[in-house]
Amino acid sequence: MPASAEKIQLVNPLVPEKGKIIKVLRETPDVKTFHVTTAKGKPFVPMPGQLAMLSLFNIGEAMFSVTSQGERHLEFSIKKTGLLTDALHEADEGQTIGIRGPYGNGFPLEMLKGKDLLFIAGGIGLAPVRSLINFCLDRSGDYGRMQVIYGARTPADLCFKEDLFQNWPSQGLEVNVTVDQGDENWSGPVGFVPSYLEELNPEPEGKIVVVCGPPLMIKFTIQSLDKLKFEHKAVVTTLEKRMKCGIGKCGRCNLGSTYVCLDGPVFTLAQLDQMPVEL
Amino acid sequence: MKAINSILIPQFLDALARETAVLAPVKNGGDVYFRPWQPGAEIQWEQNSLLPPKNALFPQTEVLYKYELQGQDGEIHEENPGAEPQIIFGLRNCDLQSINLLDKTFLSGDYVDPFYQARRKNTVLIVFNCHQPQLTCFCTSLGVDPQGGEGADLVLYELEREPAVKSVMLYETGRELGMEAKTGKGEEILKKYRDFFSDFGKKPRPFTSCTLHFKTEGLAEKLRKMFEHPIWADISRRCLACGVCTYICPTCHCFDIQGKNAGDQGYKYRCWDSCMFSDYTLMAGGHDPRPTKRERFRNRFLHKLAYFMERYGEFLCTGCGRCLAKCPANIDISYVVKKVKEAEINAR
Amino acid sequence: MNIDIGENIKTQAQTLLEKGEVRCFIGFEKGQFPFHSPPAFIDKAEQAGQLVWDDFCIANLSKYLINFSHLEGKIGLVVKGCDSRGIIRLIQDNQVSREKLVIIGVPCRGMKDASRAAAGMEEITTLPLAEKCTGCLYPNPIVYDVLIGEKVDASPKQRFKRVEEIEKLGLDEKYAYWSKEFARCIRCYACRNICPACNCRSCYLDQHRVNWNGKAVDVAENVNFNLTRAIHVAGRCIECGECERACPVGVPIMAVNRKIIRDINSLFGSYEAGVDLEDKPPLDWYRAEDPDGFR
Repeated sequence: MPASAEKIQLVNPLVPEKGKIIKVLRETPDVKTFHVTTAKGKPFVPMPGQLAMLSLFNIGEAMFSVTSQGERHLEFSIKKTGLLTDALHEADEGQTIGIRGPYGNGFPLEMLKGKDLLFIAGGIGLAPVRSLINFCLDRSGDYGRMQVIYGARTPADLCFKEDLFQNWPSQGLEVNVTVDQGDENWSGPVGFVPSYLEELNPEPEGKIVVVCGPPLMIKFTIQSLDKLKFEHKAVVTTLEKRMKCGIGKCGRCNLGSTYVCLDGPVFTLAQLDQMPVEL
Repeated sequence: MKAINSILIPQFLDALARETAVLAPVKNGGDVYFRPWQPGAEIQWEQNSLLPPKNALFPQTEVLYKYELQGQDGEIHEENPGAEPQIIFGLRNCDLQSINLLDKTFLSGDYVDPFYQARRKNTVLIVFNCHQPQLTCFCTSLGVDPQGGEGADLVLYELEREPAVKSVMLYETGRELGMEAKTGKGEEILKKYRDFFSDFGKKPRPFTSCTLHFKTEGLAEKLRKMFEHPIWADISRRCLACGVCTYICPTCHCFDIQGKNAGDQGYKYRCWDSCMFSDYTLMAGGHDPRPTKRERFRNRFLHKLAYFMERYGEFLCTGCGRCLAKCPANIDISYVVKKVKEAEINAR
Repeated sequence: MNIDIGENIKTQAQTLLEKGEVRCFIGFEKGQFPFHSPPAFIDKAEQAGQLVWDDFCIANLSKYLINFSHLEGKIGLVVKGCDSRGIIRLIQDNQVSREKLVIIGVPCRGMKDASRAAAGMEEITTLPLAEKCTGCLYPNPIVYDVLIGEKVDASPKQRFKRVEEIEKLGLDEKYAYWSKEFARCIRCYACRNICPACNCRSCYLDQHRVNWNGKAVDVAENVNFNLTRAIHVAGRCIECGECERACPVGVPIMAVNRKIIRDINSLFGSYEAGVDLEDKPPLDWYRAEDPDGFR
């Protein structure tokens, strides 16, 4: 017979920690990178490909991948696409923000070790992949040859230009960039990522592919990878879903019995082949 | 074995309610609802409640945290998950099993839900065993023992060889009901309120049997091969895509997190959500991985009959039959099971 | 009589499908229980035998037509009086076009209240008339291509009885009454989804904004939802009573709808929604001679 409420000491995983936006960088007309910190410094130490819930208290909350991290902060590159992201794009440095995480499995680092890596991304899809690219570049001895194939709608829509054209090439990364539509200053390749991929014709032997981008781009890229004879167990992708809890309880992000927020967001194509997939 | 005379139940509940909040199935208009017990209320023995007692452990709406804004700055004030002790009296074994299933969702894995856990720890469950099913009951098909009492603190039951009577008679004439403690909390209640109980040797009255029955062997396995089956487009045509089935279901537990703001302060709350709603999986930018009711309907039934089984080893249905009684289009899980069993698997 | 009507419906459906005049036929079939006759969607002539007509064909089939708005070809369906008003509603709201429908009308003597049978409270033979049928003004289909069975006389009872009872209450009593009734609402939106007048492509309730009518269940939000829903269908409610039938917790939704109908009739002159294709709902337009001008 409980005479009074039993005291239970718990941290509620659904309640964010108070953080602050300390820096805002414009990447493209509709993508900005936000540096977020908390009173204790870096909110948490994410592994590449992991996620965080960001919230503006009077607007809403949504899941974003961590694109990079510093000594005392995390970086999120966010495209303006809805209520929350519209408001975030209006926010200035100093804005208080809710943050909770890290969520998700992140990229399968053990599986990548000793392999050549081919990173394929479209648009804002480079954000999660970038966390992995930087991680691998920091430990380049652990990996073989690394290559990036990246595409965006126009040259202005290319994210992380400094990385693409300076930092990464200078660290020995082969970077191949294409745009759907060029402009007067663009002298590089023009065309969609899947056809550019086929043109570059990478050798599947000893290679792991990491793909991220909009659903259609992923769909056609997979078709191209199939043509190039990449095995599905050697292709890794990271998925996006509407999420509310981030901890596998609220229900909506499931693929069959798998929760993307908890068991994903990173899956190999071989894993996805075994699941009832609704993308 | 202890027994209590049915005449004494209201007094027993009065006594319990003097110390702890008691929820009991009482009449409200023509329907039965779990309501805080008040002296003079009338227990409804015959029928199961219209809504399960889920709300007492997982409220339809609850505040997670409050916030204050000052220009760019802001503060978060977390809500304390402390829950007042409560006793749920008279729930049936189907709803008891649903609590066991909610436990799996909210209390297992790396993340425990502190609100649910606080309520669960502070809740005493007094189950009333079923002896006769309603028309819409099919708990036994899903492996629920209507007299099992698994997870209950106390079990109340009718006794063998007493004639079955209607509820009013049960009160007026007075009859012995067996009561058995299943946990320490249950023992404590029997001890503390021992004046209400006598010793009694009769056995419980057995359960008759559900008129609605189906076999579930191989069901989850068959469903795994039926993701693209035309059956989903076919059965879901009748569906209105409302949330009746999900909101009256004792096992459905999907939730949303939303906010309310007034000037420079506000709060975030968690509330039930329904996988049948069009905003459930809709992403910012307009993409929806489940764009029509076919996909939503499919996910709902596969979650109940296959996905939860894969993840937690049990069906996410306890056969309470509320969806049979309340779906405005007469779609229910037993109908879906029937259709699945009839379906030819090659017809992909 | 019912058997004849049922057989006639089967024959009509079979012929329409065989000749390819309709792509799909919507009628009723038997469900899990004798007191269930849910909607049936028949695509092939040989399935027409599933169709039935009995005392439990209570659903308003007109609402399902919005799911076929992109279908090429025609749809056949069975309608009662109330269902046919639903069709007029949908045509007036530009959701369906008359040319795409083959309507089999059946005069209706009122359907039975299956909820009492499902709860085990009543034998199927003694079930009373469903609440939604007690105030019926139009038992005979208004639009149809084929009429099966003989027309029946309307004998509406108590159309405004509940409205009058509630109108007698004082202001505080009314507030208390509706707060109590709306407090039970679990926000499943069955009333919206089943309503032929609720045919917006994107409902205001499915939007997400802080302080919008959110999913929180409390008296304020519930009252807001219930009244907004009622106002959204004001002047367009065809009184099929499906909202109240679908409500799992028994909110007296038709009392709100009928109060609005009565007020509209007294303010703007007599009007019955879903009865005349040419007669526009009074709240859809303005005329200079409106009895209640701008104030």
